[in-house]
Amino acid sequence: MKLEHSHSEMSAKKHRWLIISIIGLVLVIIDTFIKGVDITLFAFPLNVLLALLWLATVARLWHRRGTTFGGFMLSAEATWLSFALMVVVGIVLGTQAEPKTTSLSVITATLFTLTHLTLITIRGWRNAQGIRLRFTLLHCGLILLLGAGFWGAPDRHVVRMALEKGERSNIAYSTSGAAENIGFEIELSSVVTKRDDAGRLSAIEAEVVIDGKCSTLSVNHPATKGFGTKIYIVNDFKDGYAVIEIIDEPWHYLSFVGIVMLLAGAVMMFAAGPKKARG
Amino acid sequence: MELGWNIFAYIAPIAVLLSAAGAVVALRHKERSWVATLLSSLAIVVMALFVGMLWHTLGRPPLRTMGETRLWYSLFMLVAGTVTYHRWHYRWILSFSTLMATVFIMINILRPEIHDESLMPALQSVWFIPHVSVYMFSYSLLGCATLLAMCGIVNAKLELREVIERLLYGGIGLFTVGMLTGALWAKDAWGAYWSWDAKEAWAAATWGLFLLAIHLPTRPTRRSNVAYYAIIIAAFLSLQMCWYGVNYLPSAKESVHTYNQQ
Repeated sequence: MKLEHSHSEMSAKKHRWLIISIIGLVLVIIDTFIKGVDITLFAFPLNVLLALLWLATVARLWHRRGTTFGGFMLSAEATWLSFALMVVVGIVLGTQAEPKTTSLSVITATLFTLTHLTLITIRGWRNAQGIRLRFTLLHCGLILLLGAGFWGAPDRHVVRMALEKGERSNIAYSTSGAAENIGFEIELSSVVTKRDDAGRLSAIEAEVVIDGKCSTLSVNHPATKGFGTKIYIVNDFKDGYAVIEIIDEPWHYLSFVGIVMLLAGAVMMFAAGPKKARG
Repeated sequence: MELGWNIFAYIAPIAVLLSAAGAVVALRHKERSWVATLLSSLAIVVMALFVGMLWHTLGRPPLRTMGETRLWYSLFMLVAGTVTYHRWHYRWILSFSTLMATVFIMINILRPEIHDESLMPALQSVWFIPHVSVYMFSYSLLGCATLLAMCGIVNAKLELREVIERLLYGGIGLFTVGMLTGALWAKDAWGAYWSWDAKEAWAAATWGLFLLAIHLPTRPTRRSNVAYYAIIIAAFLSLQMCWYGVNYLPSAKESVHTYNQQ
């Protein structure tokens, strides 16, 4: 009886990996023919609705963890698959001249990893006695970071404007070349570039007036305007002229919280070493 | 007279000799030797003094070029070896760390790089020093773990998993801090925490492989030990791609991380 059970388990395992391999292959084939998913179609409020639907699915999976699929999503195999997907995605995107970050394979791999991570975090929080704080910081931090990057990507909006010294404008251009009114004015008061003795660029600084307020823009020092909007100077300039980039990313606050939590967990990981959960 | 790279060929051999002497003393003593720790610590002090002098002479932290990162790598390799020896008393670890540090020192002596007087604008950030130095320290710990994993593959009888796991936790903890400080810096510099730039993609692959290793079952068998060691070695190869190998890929042309090629 026990032997029969073990045989059927082995066979189920083989079928599971066959199905996963077929899904992976189909996604890769589709990706070779399409350029990538247009994620702007999922901008607010659709992304929020989808994120809520996903959370409901995770809760449903947690309650049905006794089923074959629910059990698999909480298994060590799913953990290894998540890491393997992360490695494959990293290597593929790291070797592509133009990384296809919105391909179906990357989206599916991220969603799978996020779902598995959330499920094991719920389980681990209940079981991780002795290392609960570290476990929570690391796993919840990663969920926030991955989740905000994944669900918030459609709301990320980037436009640029080129300004001459003394020029002001409220019209910027998207990467597709479409003109947009950004809702406030930017004026370039001055732009200064400095070079070292060898002629290499050592500093760039632009004085700008953003919606009536004076600000200094330089590399690594953007200006903030309203909720989730930052204004940058781009490395494409000459004397008396600068390209200003306006990036709207309302989900970046969640990413930041995730980074801080993950940082704290990583420091604890370094300090305490391989401490395992009790019990 | 400027005290910079021009004196490196005279100072570095002193550090190598001190570290090698420490390694020999450690090999000859079954118990933990304070003399070995002292000699290795002196080697660290000599290297650290050179880094300090170079920093002062350049007027900026020496963390920009490949030569400078190799300098930190050799320093932190000595630190990681000494700490590992002193904490866990692996007699031969000092020999390995000395050898690894010597390789990087020799590269710097035989192929000196040209160093700029001023940092380019993208590198003028408060995140620059924590990001690079934390990475260098993590590379050293992960390098030590990889050396032990290689020993484990060669001699299956060695009980190395416990010490490797300690090194991995330290190394991955710091690697994660390096990635996250990089993400915070990237948001200020380029407007995104993570943009799947070639270097970032290889960092994700490396992180995934090292995390896979520490998530393997805790009760090891001989077969799982081999898989564990093999994953660590693969992760370290991926780390080499992330560190400098990526510069030779076509994807590096679009990378925002290739400062030293300008």
